Amino acid sequence: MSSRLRKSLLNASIFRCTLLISGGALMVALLAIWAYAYVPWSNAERTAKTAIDAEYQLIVSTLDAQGLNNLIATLDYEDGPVWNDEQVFAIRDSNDFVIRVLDDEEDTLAGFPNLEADFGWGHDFVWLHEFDTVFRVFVRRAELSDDVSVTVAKIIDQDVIEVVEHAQTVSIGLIVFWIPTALILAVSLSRYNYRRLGETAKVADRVGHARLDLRAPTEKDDEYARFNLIINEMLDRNEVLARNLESVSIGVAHDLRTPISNLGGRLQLIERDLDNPDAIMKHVRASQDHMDALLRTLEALLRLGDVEAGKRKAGFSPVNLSDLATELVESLEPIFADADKTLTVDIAPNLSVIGDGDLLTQMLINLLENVLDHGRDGAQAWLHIKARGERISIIVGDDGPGIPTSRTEQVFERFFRVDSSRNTPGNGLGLSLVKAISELHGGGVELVKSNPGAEFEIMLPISL
Amino acid sequence: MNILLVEDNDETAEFISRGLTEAGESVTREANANTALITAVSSDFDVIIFDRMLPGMDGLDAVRLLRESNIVAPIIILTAVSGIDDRVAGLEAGADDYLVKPFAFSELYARLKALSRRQPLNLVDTQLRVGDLVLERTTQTVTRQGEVLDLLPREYRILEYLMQNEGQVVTRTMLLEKIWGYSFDPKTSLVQTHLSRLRAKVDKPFETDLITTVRGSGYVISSA
Repeated sequence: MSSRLRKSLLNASIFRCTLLISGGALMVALLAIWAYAYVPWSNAERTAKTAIDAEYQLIVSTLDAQGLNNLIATLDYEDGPVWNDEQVFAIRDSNDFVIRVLDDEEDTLAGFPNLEADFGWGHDFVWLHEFDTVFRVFVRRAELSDDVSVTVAKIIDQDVIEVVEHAQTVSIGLIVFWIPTALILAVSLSRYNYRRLGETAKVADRVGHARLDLRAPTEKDDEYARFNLIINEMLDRNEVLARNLESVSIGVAHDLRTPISNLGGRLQLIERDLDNPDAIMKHVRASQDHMDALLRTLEALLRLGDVEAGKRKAGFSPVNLSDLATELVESLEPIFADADKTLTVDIAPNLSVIGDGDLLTQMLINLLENVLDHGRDGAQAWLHIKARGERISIIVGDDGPGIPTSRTEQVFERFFRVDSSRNTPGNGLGLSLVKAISELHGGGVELVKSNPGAEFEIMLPISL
Repeated sequence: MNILLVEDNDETAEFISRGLTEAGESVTREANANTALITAVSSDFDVIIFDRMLPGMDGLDAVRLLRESNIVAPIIILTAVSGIDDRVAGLEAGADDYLVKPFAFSELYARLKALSRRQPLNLVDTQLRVGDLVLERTTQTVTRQGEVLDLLPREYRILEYLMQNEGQVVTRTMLLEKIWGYSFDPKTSLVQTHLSRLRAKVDKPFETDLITTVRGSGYVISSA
């Protein structure tokens, strides 16, 4: 059943693939966004670093030359050495530095007290409570002496910040949108897949339970439908095989029953005629004939099985079909003459196939035997062998009663006989064997004319 | 003939050895391959009949072993398995003939006779003679009472094969195998028709018939 297909969603390959691909795509998108923001950011950072370093050197040299108090004094613009928010706010427009000089107690000696940073290089936020605003800065804090350090910051350009913030917004939006979308996509794709596979699985399951006629849907022109086409072809073949097997069983039962019951009859007659040796001899001989018929049918069935199973293919070698047929015709001509039938032959020389000479002979004999068995007295029969492109065409025909149109489909089936009373000679396996042998050789056989007369054409791949 | 019969099925063995004994042949029967190998090596047999499926050993392996121990007696394999490939495998293993069960006793006996006679001489004889019928192998001409018979190549080969086995029955299937090379049995009276053509040339114009039909088994040529 189709439900057998489903386990957990996590086991569905389509689900996992979709998630994997979506995840990968998300990563790529985020990476692209990061790269878009990183370039202006790192340019700004590099510029700021150079400027901050220069400013720091300036502060150091001022300290060295004029001492701490003078340094503090230089940072006192109008309102004392410690800056207020207003002063810092003004700096943004002046492209100047935000500076803070602190002692080892973290008390601000000069500059902006809200500028807080660890030692070293980084970027940070500076709060201007008065303006209810925050500046982003690149910042460096370094020692000036044992108990004094300085923090120098450069306010980051608004353009750069906008780019970064934009990138952040887009990234978050992308993640928020992408993950559920990918999940929905994965779930619905796997459900679709389950549904389509389920249709096939359901058919397979029911065919497995003897509904040989069911086929998988092929209406849509997608890969599932094409897959189903292949499955259906297999089911077609299997159905034919199964039906063949069925008809074989019936045929075997039917065809073996007659000689077996005849044998049984003869045994009873022997019992009754025990005092008459001549009669017994007659019964024994008749029994042997029935036995021969029985064995012949069995032999033909086994051979047919062997050929259909492709067992003989291993021994294939080049066979000169023209010579083989010529020799065969030579052997059969007297038989045709005795049966008051004429066989006209037209065989192109030196046509070869890769195959099994013994089987090819049997194939031709079976067709010609058909003519002998079923053609009327004085019948005309013909055998033409010629090349047709890449193939050899073998035509065997006669002007006999032929095969009723309604039954032409069945001629190659096992145990098929035009005369279904089974009174004519033969076991109905001859043409099945012809078909099996021609197919074993990579060719095929067709009934090309059937009423009146009968003409078969075998096509075999030519061997050069 | 001194014959070794290796067959595990009692009924088949009984059927064969009774037929052979009645025909005046001496039969030693073994039911398994190992003892059969010992028996085969320890005394001299004219022909060995070997079943293909034996307990303990594949008949083909046994035949191979026999050949390796320089047993040259002709071997005929009996089998319930039919199929050309098996036949070829049997002959490759060193057997001389291969017969598919079930078979008529006369078929087996005809083959045994042919095998035991197949020894050298008449194969290389340049001339075969049965009564007043003479077949010259060098010129491929056949004469009877000095009169040249006009035979087709296939008729010549049939006659040659019959004459090689003078006085012995040659079965229809033997002819199909040897002359036509067919491993299957066509429904048509292929052999019968050709034999009757041959007899029309060899016997009909003359007073006595050399070729006779043995009902249910085959043909025999003899001057008696």
